[in-house]
Amino acid sequence: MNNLTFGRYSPYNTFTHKLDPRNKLFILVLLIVSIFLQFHIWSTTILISAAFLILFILFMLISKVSFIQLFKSMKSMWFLIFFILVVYIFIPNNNYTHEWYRFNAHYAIYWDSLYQAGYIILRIILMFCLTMILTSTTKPMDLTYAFEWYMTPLKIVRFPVHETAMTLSIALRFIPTLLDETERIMKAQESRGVDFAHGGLGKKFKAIISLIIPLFVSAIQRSEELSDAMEARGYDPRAKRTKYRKLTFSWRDAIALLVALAIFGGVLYLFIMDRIGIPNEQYIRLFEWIFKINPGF
Amino acid sequence: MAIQVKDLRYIYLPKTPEQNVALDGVSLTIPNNAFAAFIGRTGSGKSTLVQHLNALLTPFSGEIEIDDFKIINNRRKNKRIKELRKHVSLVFQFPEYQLFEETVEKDVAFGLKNFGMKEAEAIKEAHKALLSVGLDEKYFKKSPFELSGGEKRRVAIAGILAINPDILVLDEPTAGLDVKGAKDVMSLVQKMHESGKTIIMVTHDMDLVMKYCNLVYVLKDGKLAYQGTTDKLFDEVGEDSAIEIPPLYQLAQKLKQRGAPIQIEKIKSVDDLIAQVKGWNKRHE
Repeated sequence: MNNLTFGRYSPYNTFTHKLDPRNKLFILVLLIVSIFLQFHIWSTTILISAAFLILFILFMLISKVSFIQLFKSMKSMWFLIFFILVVYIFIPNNNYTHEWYRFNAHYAIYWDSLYQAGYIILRIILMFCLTMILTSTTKPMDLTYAFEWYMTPLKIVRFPVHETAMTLSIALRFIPTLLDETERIMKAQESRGVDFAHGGLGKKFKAIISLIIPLFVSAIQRSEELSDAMEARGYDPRAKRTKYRKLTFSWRDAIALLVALAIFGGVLYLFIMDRIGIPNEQYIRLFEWIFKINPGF
Repeated sequence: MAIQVKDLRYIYLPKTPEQNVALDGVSLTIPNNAFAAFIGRTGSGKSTLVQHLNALLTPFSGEIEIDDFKIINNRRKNKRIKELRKHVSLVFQFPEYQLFEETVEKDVAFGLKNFGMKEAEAIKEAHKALLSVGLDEKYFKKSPFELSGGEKRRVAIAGILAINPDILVLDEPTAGLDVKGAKDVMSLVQKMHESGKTIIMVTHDMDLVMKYCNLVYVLKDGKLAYQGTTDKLFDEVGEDSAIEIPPLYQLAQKLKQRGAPIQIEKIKSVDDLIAQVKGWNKRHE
């Protein structure tokens, strides 16, 4: 059950926890964009990715995100990783040049495809780290406030901002409840001899059915009860309302934002340089300068 | 001894800020053919304890012996879990939430099929179990979702009874039922006990404990506060105990404190107390 609780909010009081959720969301977008900038030269890409990895590990340490949880949730991603590998290896691409293994005259596996797949997987892992830092340091409610704040301009085009935010916050609020419910139903069915861990495909299918149906029934029942309770208290989505919690932008947010902007700016600069094509030599020299590596690397 | 729990400890969410010691060194024994009750306030660890009895939870430390089964703190080394779950069955609180099949009979037969019974035979056993909980033929083909709350509960209990365990664990079997529904369920449990099964029940209802159980275990903050026979329970535990003493026994305790020769362990109902008070009056006249 533990791998399902990925990114659950953990109530510490670190620097990251104290940040404004709107700011955190913006920083997340900035950093994800910078992860997804791809460079022409593969060594640059790898170096930058490695730098990001070290940086994110540092961030995780600061925000006390548990690495064990990260590895546990990685374990459930092996299928995705496998899928990406297969897709990249078996889809032919004319741009590939470094041959690894040739089946026949028409078909071969290239190192390039492995590199591409590895790069995608690395990016996914990096993104995973980031979102995990966000969700385990931010209360779901604060996150929805942030979403609502960003969506406010859409009110001009009559987009139901408040309703969307409410739906979102209810959905987030009920994730732990549903997880507890899942655990309870699993235990009840295990008492009836269901084995969720072992058994063939047919048995496993039946086991999942015995979990899903009661879960849906209780979730639907719960939602009906909730909507009745909300109506009984006179909930009107169009009414004007005040906020219980005011979001504030503090000096911590300023620091975090500056750091994020610096990272983004740096990567963007390298990216633009890469695209307009500074000669390779110069480019390598730039890296020698940044990382103080001996010339001739 | 049917069930032996030795120094059992269990911690929810260990090594996180929300960690919670649910059981803190509980040792107890439950003899064969007992009708035992676990009582204690919400959060005292009673539900956690009973979930160890069929290895739904694995102990953090300590061990549990149930007849020739042994549950230790290593999940991998606990063998024969399926056999254990056939030996010890657990009826959860609000068991009606576990129903999922298209028909009542299929749902009851589901557990049996999981333990390796053939379809036709399982359906036959399911019919027997359904009849024993008082649901006749016209219910067999109904969908469990169109039944009333009490009927659903009985179907769910039938699903466990059909497995025919030797030890039956019930977590608040009467919660949310009306007076008649509760009575039906309890007389069913009583019947199971008379047929030679060991019954373990988690409950808040002291009246049920006094009426049906012969052994009581009181849990307080994850520790065992009292274990013994039911008749001595209210005699021995004081006012600040982990349990809510029913008004009848509070009155009896107060009378005893003021010097009345009341034998609390012999009181089962209001009439018993009246009889004792009357007898005491007569001696004084």
